[in-house]
Amino acid sequence: MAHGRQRLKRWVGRLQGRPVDWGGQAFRGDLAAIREQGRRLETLDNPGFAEEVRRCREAVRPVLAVEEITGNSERNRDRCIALQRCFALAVDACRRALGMRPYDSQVLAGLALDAGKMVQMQTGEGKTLAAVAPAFVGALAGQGVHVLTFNDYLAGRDAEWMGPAYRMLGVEVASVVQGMDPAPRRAAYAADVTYATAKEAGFDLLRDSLVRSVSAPVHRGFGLAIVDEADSILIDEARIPLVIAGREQGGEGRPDWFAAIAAGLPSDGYLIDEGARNVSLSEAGYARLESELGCGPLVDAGNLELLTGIHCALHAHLLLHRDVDYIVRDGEIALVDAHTGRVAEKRRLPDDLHAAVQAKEQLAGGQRGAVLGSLTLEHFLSGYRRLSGMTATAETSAEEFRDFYGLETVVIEPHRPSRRIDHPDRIYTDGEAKRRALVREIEEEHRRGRPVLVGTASVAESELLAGQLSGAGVPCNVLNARRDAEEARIVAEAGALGAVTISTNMAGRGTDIRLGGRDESQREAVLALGGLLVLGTARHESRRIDDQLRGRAGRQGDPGETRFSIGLDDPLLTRYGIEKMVPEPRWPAPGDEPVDDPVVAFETHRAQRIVEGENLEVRRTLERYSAIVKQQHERLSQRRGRCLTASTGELVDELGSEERNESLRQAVGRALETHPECADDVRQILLGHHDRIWREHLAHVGELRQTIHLQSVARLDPLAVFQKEIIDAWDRRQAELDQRIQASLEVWAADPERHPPLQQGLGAPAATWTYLITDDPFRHQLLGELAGTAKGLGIVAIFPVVFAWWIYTRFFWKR
Amino acid sequence: MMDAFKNIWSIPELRRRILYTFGMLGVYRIGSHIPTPGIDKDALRTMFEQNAGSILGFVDLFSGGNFANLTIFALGIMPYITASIILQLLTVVWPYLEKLSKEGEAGRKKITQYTRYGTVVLSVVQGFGIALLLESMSSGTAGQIVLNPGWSFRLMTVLTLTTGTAFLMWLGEQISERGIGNGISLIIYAGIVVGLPGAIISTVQDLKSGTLNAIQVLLLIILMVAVIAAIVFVERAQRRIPIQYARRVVGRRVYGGSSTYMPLRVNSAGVIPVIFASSVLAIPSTLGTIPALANVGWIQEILRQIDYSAPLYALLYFAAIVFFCFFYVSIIFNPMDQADNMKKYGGFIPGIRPGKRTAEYIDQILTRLTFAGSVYLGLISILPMFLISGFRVQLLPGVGPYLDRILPDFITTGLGVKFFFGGTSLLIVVGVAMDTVQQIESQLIMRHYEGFMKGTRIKGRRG
Repeated sequence: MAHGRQRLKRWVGRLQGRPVDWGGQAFRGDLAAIREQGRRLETLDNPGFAEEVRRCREAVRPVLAVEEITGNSERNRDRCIALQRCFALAVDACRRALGMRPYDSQVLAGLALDAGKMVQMQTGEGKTLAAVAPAFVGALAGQGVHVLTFNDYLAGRDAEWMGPAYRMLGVEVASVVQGMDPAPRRAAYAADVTYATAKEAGFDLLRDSLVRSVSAPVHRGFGLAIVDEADSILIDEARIPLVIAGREQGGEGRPDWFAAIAAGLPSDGYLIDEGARNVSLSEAGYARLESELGCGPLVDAGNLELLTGIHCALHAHLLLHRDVDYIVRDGEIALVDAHTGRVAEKRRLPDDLHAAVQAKEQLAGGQRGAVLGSLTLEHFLSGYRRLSGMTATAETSAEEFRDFYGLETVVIEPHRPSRRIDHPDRIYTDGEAKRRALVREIEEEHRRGRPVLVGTASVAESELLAGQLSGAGVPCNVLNARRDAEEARIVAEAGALGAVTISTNMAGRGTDIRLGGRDESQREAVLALGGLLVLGTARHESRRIDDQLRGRAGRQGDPGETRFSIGLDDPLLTRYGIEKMVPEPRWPAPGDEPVDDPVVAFETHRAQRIVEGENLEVRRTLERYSAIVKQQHERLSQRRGRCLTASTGELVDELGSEERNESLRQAVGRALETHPECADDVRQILLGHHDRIWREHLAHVGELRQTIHLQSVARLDPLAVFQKEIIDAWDRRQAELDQRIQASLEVWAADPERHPPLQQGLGAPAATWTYLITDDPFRHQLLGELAGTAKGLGIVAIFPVVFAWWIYTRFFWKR
Repeated sequence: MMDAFKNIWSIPELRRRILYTFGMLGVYRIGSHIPTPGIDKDALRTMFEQNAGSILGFVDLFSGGNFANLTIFALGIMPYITASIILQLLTVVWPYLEKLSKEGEAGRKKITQYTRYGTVVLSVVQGFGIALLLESMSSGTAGQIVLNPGWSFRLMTVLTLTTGTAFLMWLGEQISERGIGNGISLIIYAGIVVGLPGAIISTVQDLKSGTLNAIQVLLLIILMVAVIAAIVFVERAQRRIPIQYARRVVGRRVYGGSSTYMPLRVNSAGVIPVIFASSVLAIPSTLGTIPALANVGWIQEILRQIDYSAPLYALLYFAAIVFFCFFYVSIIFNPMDQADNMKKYGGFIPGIRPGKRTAEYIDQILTRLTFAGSVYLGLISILPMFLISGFRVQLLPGVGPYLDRILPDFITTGLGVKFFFGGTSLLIVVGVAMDTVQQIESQLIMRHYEGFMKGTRIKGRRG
């Protein structure tokens, strides 16, 4: 029955032209050939295999390299043969070095990855292993291969785990994680195959765009990217731009003072819009503050700084919650990444907000930052020559992968059919009832010895539940941002007999939960109990994240059960006004019993779909708005790159093409002769001005983006106005860049010793950190526009009514 | 000017899109010459001539002359517009659609699909109405319009007209997607401007035959250009209210030309008040054709006073446009909503407290702007009337003959020139043309930019 429905779904999908290939039929032929060669390879001894690898590398390299240069995606015969040969070697290397012989499904997935597809494989089917062969092929082609993982832990683990197989194939492998110094980072990127998170690689590119010496960049180029957990990276995270910031000179505010004001404001003084995550002063708040501060109207242009400070402090006080959005560690606040649930190193809140939160927690003030560069993950990934991805949940978003990344989806059938049972949600009227029920259930299952994995939406929720569980006498392991180091061990043991594990949504991704844990003998006992039980305490922002959590259970044909429990006061539901969606009479009375009402269930799912739709919209908008800025940055980067690599003599060519140029060139030449030790100063002045002008441009872009939606009031297309303004602004800035460089160099050349670049404020930023811009400027824009036009146009509807009436009277009268 | 065209032509994609648009509009024009079967064309034309100035003429405007000739596109794109309006209205009042509209791309696709179904349903209803109407009418002198009345005729007409509208809808969507500009607007636009060559030819003939003299034609051309220039000028006019956001870092320098303002258009209402006004004023003359009322003397006197060419009509028309301008603006633009929205995100007008006071401030500015805009719309709308027949003041009761004596001829009888377009058509044509040009321009900017950028990718320094 279920099978039949699935086939019908596929058939309808094919009819609709969905970009999904079920089963990867196109690669079956290659698979057979690889298996054929594999049988021969298996008979070789290790030295014989090494010799085979050596010969293959020599023979295959030119074929693969040529294919890359022409960019010809038609798989010509030579490449096809080379590919089969490489795959057969990689498959056998895995068997020899890792003791794991890739299944047919994994080889098929590898072939699809090589062909630049989005591969869907069930959780536990061995995606990590599937990526080895295509990475080997990419490495032989001589480009850097990046396997982009979901988190640092996986990057390190996968590189180490797959390392022996790669080494047997003569391929260097390395990983990049947060907090690594530039030198080892550079070495890691120089390896044939590099495991890193997409964010880390993206931030490295951003940092590379700010380096001041030619040897400083850590990246070496972008060949092939294999994105693991691709749906999360390409969809969920892609809407958040990566932003790098540096300290801005001057402008130290008074965050402590503002924090005191915000803390002293009574609750009628402000209005919170929890959905859009914004807070503003109310009429009463304005009146109160104006009389308290004696500053005159707060909205006067002169009080802008004051008002901004108050807004920031209010935001910090009311909208950012300790242990949810950030934790306090070593006298500093550390932000929690909403997607991974982990502490994000070197990340700050944008603008004055960071200092405001520091002040709220009574910590020493943080510096205000200026945005130095930004990059969306999508643009970053488009920089790779070839892109492919793998995940357990791709098919539902196949159109998005095609539209945004040009990736077709290939669904690989699981090696063994799944026996997992997904139960329908249990809905409770409030979080308290939900947690009581969960604790009861976990207690019971724990007594039977069945392993339970609980997935929560926030760190605070994990702590709350863990507290209640230990109150009930159930020992549990908590996985959240504060226990990074123990993560691997705990996850590995989550399937052990009687284990209870609570985790934020990070633990799901990529980690293998073996039933019975390390102790193989317990496996049978766990199987008999029905396998791992996965309980979600709230639905996440997208069904894909939920599916990932579900995927923890029932790996490789094991039994397993999953269920989500929902409280009607979950943030996801209240943010989207569930109480307005469920009709009044159906609203359940508070109680401990789960709500059994299809309407309520339907509405809870709809809330999730709305969030998904909104996020998609935000992503599209972000893409459209950032396209031009990205192009401008590429153009600037080219020139900056020339400044970076040019010899001192060539540098003068980059001064711009004005008539002042000639005399300036001579002046600079003379200065260099008398002060050869200052040669690098010219380069630093050039680079410093490039960075500064870009910083200003980004600030302008940010400001513009915040208000551009107002253009729709005049029925103009905000995007078109934005593009025009940004292009004009950039043209002006480029002219200004030349002028500034010339002015600076004139000052410098007059006396190189007295006017080093540092003195002109052109030094490299002392420290950089990253921002995660979460309050996107587009969200309100989407909501505002619709209602206005709809109501307006509605009046035109009178017209056909008049028309119909006219026909009616005419016709009727004659009768 | 030529450079701009060359630029457009030199970008393959833009060229392809523009050619595609023309091609599709060509298809539309071909369809506009295929009549609905079973109709006596001459009788139909006579009927239309007898009913000029009633709402029929208005319907014909939107169908691009297809209605008068009862071609397969007789219903025009109007059912689609109506359906999308109804859907948008329902989105506000019906929670199911409201939620759907928030579900992003997928939800919007569904709404579009409903709009298409709605179009077909409306077309069937309207098509059936027209079939019954045609059967019931005879044009008096020329006899029955429908050759063989009955169910077969009705079904055939419904089928033909519905298919025609569905095809037009598809055509419009194709233009929007693969061509340039908004396909639906362009189809209306094409229907209007297609009369231009005919008008030019008839002017040339009039010139030859001496009905018009050269000065009149020159005057006409000057007027035409002046009116179009005025429309372009006013349509682009904005009042910019500065907005500040107290959420970001301050102390940054102010960037010249930065769009941190709320642009309010002088004519926020667009062409819609004119449509309303004409619809409302068409009602009396339509009523007047009902025989039961045709014989009542005082009704006829009133109708004579507010006949299409009468001065009282012009006055009423003008007043109605002004009224509908305010009415419509108050509906599409709610200062309180705008103020609330701004407040929520930390925005404010310098010196004015967010919330109620901001709303009052915006309202005040908007009222003044709308007054100017409504006068402009009114003038543009009665201008053609004046040019054709002047203000025939002698029709006015009491003072009429006196005014007729003292006012110069060109006011009382007009210039006697045929203005190519009515005021409404002119506004639509200029509006659509401006939108399309703007779209081409923004495409041009983008391509120009991409052209520069071609072949550059992110690369490592050593890569």
